[in-house]
Amino acid sequence: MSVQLLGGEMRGWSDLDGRHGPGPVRGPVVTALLAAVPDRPDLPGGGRTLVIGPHAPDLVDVLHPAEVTVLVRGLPDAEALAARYADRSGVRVCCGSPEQLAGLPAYDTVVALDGPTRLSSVEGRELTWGETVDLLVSVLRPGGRLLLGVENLLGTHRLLALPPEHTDSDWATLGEYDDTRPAGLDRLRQRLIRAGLRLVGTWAAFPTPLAPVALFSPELLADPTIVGFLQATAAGQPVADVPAGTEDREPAVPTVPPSIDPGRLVGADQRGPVPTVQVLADPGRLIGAAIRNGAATALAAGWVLLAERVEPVHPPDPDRSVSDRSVSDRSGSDRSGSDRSGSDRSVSDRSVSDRSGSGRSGSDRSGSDRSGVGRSGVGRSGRGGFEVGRLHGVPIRGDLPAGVLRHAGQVRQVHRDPGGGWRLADGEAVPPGRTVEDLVVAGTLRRDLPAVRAWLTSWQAGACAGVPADQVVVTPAGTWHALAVAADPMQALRRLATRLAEAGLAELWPTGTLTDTLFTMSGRMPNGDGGRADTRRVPNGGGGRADTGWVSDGDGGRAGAGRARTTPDEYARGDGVRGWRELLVDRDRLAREVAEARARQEWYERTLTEREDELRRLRRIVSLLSGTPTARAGRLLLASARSARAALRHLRTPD
Amino acid sequence: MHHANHYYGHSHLLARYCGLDQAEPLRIRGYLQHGWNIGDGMAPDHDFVPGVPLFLWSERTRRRAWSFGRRQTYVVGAPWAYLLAMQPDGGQPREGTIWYPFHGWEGQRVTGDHGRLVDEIRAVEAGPVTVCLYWQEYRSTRVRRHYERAGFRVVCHGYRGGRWGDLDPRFLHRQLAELRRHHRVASNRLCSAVFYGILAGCAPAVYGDPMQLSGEQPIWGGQPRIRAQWAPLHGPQVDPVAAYELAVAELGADRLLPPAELRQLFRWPEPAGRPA
Repeated sequence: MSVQLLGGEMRGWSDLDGRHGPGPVRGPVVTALLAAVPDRPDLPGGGRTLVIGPHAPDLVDVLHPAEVTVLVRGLPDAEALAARYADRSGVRVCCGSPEQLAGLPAYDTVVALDGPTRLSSVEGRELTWGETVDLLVSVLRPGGRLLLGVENLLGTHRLLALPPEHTDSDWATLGEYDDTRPAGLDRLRQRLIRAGLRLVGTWAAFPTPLAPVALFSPELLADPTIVGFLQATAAGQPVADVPAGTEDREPAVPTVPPSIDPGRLVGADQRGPVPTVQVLADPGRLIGAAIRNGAATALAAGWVLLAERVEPVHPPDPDRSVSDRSVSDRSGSDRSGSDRSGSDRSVSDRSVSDRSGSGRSGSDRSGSDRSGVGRSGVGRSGRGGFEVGRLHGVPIRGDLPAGVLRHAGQVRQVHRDPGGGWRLADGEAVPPGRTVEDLVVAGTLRRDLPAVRAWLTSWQAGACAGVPADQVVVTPAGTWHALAVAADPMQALRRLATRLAEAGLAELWPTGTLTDTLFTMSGRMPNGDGGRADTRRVPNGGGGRADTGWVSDGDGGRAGAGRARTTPDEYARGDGVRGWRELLVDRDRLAREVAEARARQEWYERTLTEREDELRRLRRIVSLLSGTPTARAGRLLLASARSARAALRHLRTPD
Repeated sequence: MHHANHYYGHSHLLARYCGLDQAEPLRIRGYLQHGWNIGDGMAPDHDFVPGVPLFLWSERTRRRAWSFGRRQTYVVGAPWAYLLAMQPDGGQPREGTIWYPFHGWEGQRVTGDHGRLVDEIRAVEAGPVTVCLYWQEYRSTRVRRHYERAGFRVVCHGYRGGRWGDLDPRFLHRQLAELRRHHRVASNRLCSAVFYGILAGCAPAVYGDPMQLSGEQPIWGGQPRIRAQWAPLHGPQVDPVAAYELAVAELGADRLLPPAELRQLFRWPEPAGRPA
């Protein structure tokens, strides 16, 4: 297969190798979402699909329409992809700048999961965010679908990031200063609606936009009953804290992998050294807080939106920017499409309301894409799936997942349960409730030691003993659900101690003994032998029955280290991403412990001196009083004489 | 910083623009792009020192240089554009074509058939032709006679300059004077001279045997890329409006800096008589 050069191609440039920037969109979670988006049943072979921008080849692999076009800007990337798909007759690889798409036939599906910001070529026009999105919409046939990824510039990954180093791909990155870029999810959705799209699905990405370990719909994230599940799965194993070769990564700084070839694209088989992520604090903690506070959708690292084109869009006018045309045609006056919140919002809300018929406001609707889904409703189809919407008048069957997540080494989908709540694709219910860690923290903050003791002993006495406390959900009914594979229980306890210390809770426990205290409270011996201490003193906390359905090889019994697929070391580190906050917490704690140790030392010195003085006095008395009666009388007489002589000398000596 | 900053009288010209004495070349604190290319604007054999800024002609070149890993890149525009800003076109009569055969630089040798090129020029150009040779070819009687025998006027703009020696502050002035005598500017390769001619009001053309440098490596895509990416500038007849837009962009004629800003960038002093 040869690469089709469209013009504006960048020779010697690669987005896929990760050397010039953060690498492509990648990972099994995004791949699973792409695979879960149903094909167009109304088109023979699924229609024509365009994949534009840097996507790991794994993503392209799961696309099976009759015709797939992949457009990248770097020639080495295009050549590598062409070699990879040399045997797939339906795949065409193009190289060039996105404005060249205007001369190509329209598509039924456009996949742009990396978003609009890394499409322009240095050899072509530098398109704004709005121009690029309008361009993508313009190459969609009516009824065609756009799967768009957008980074949240106020996402948790950026809130806690150190000032970023510019990469080679940042030759003109406007970021939040691009007036055509809608800020926030609501404005983003309104902007797409104004561009002529109808929203079908939205997913919030965690913890990074390019290699998320969880994609959750706003509706799922807004469910307060499953906070524990969401917390446990949204942060995942931190990106920089996974063993090399076991996880897809999103480098914070460019790494230098070997020269690119088809088998060594990032996201395929290439695994380089794990880069060090420099952050202000562990993003996982902030993600957890965002979920608990109902702000997770707004603070997600990015969003993925699925939308369909509902009305014809005029062909691009070369004498007029696409964004200008779009805005003036549709909203009359708003050039930015985002920041004139007053009039813009009213227009957009109206249009949303008209389209969806739901009558909900734009912000209320952020929990789901009822704007697209609600028209046809969510109900059982005749084939047992769910009709979640209509594309080009054709119902979509086989429901879109409300969540796709990776945990314990497996990718899982979450769907709404028509009977209420949420279910996994294999039918298992998503457990409601809180994590054991949350319950322990709450008990600690209340200074309710009996409750803390009860949770710890229940945890360590049951099948979830080796599962980290932040990965175990306790339902209101009292069942325990392990969301990760088990490892060594002692290491799970150490991990909890570390996390409590990093949460600033260490001072609520006796200094320097948090880990030992937790061990003892949980009924284990703190010497690390893994043996059980006497647990009879601990009241039954109601736990003990572990539902290990999340662990594929769960045995329903004690989760021992022997069957753990996750290495114990992974839990032993247990501290997620070590950011500056964690270092400061460590420093403050150590400074406090040193000060306390010095105070103790001074006290010991003082006490020791007092005791030694006392000891010397007592020894003298003992010496006087020891021996035979004659000797005692003699020593006493001598001592009296010495005392009398000393007294006389004292009296004679003038002061 | 680098002797190439003084080629073609660039530093002299910019000093004049900044109101400074141009008798002695001023040191530019950075590397100034001295010719159009399709890479990062710098000569491929340039020895870069980290932290030394790159002063580039155009925004596209800056973006490309950034993507190559270059930092501290600033667009200042081509010295040629400053010259034109200082010496507006007086509307003098123009006639014929000035033709720049592709040339090598010092130490390089061009292989090609000058006789065939002469035939191609004759076939295209209706009016009088001036052939401008690089100083190396101009010194070669054999090469010069190819064109003189064809009835072409043969000129040379001079020596671009050496390593801080043999500098020629009037090089671009002579080139501008020649270009403004002609209707058309042409070459067998798209090069700085063609862009200069377009900006100076000439209708451009790129045609004929592009010739070869001995041992030429097609870096950054070479001639095939140039012909593909700048296709509108190739051919005996070219759309002058589109060509002018391209020349403005490539020479950064829309990005010229005010004198004070240029002085600040180059770390040049204030002109005499002004408070420092």
